[in-house]
Amino acid sequence: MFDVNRITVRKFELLEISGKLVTAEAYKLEDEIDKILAESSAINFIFDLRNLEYCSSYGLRIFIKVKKDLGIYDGVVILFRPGESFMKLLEIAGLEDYFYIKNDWNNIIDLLADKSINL
Amino acid sequence: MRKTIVISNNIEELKKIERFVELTGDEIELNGKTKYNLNLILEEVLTNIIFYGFDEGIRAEIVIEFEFTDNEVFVEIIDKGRPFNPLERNVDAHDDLSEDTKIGGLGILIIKKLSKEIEYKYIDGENHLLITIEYHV
Repeated sequence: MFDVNRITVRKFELLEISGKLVTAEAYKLEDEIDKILAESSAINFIFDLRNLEYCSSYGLRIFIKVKKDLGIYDGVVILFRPGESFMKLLEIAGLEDYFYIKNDWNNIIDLLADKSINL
Repeated sequence: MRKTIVISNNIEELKKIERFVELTGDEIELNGKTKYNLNLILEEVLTNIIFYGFDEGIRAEIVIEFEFTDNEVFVEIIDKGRPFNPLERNVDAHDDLSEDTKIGGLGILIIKKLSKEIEYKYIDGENHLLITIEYHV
């Protein structure tokens, strides 16, 4: 139902998530992320959500958990180009300002520069 | 048009609901946003029932009855799990940020925000949750 494509760039994990993040399968993403957190030295995550078609509250909670986990290390979680339905979900949850949401790579580079994070 | 679907209290059964919404939505020409909202509301309600409604190992049925009209759909979800009225729970999404529970408050918030009306009854050992959802134009 959904796919994850992982790209590691030094201090960053870029995860492209496509398809439908339904509750019945979202645990697979959670397991995958737990594995990455355990083995990777990266503390910054970019979730590319351009092709995420659907997300349940369980799915949203996974992103929240990653942000909480990485927050301990001053890590950054960026959501890249989430669609209208995902933005609606954030709005319902009152979490529009909880994540860094960027629609352009230049904005991401600017954010990282502000935070003195080198790619 | 009325339709009924019965699922068991297994999280895998949610896939049947998704297929049902997709096929029925196409049949009566619901637009994508309406199908999305209907599916999301049902997934959140049923996830709560499946995860919290029954003791572990208990197998049970959940009945979902639909009535589609010209501009809204009435859904009644019936289960024999432990009594649970989602309307009695005061929900704040930020509660979920301070705890590690996987299901619960956020789902209820979604149900409340996306539904036009919600009514809960407990009758003869059954939870009856009635939800009215407006079609997106």
